[in-house]
Amino acid sequence: MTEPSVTHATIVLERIYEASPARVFQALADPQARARWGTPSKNVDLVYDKADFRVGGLDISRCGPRGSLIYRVETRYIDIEPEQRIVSTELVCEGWNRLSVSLVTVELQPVGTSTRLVLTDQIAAFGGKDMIAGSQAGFSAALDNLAVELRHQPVDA
Amino acid sequence: MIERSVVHSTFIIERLYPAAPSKVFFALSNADAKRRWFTDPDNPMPGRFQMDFRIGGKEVNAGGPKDGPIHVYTATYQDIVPDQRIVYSYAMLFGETRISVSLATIELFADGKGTRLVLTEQGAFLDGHDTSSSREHGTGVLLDLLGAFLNEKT
Repeated sequence: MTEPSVTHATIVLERIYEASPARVFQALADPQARARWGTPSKNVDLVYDKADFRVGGLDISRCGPRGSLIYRVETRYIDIEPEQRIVSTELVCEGWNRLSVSLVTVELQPVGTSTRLVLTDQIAAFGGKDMIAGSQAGFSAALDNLAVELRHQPVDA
Repeated sequence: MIERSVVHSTFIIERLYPAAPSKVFFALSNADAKRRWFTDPDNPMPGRFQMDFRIGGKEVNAGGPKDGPIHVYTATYQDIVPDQRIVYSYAMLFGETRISVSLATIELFADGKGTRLVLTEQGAFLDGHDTSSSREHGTGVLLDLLGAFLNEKT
């Protein structure tokens, strides 16, 4: 039996969006919006089986290559300050295997009429550094997609 | 709107205990055992304590000074490998205010007849209410209380 090992890392990603903090927060809070921008590429699908965006709430989602949504993610919302901050934990599993747990902080700050978003992913990865690189790449691509989402989706009246 | 801030930090604490990993794991995972050592040395009056040790299960530990705000520790177990590893997230509430959210990893390694415990805490300290170094100190004290408990039993 291999010795289980845990690798820890802190990943920090930053973006500036040409949208208000309220608008960016709305795109973060709404599971339908997240299903659009939350995947790293168009060949990856993201489906929410359960969505409950509130302090103490739990989202359950599956993602992966189209037709093979092998990753299951449990997101627990621990702190929500509207238009300012979301702190959550994300447990990523593949089948019976738990791959990683992350403490994810998203902070929104107004910069003129734009918003600076800072995402900090404090990750505990089981079984190696690949999960850390994968988490970084996945979040980074999703944040790029968020820019596209914000440009194209009109604000609801 | 209130000015918000978050300080992120990671600290690692190690302890060597004169008990086998299964005994250390028992002290960490059994509610009756944990109730005996997981206390606030400044406020030994037991408040609310509940523990559901399974993946997805929750632990709540509340207490505080007689005429002060209640401190509430609420944890969720994220990963458990018996006798080897426990990963849990927890939030600290001071009255109505959430002061921090953390992800903690406890790893147990056999060391001769004893156990080396390695605790890695990755924390998000909210709005300047508490600091990582203060939390590191308090967590070290808790691990010392665990050591005293294990010493009694060995």
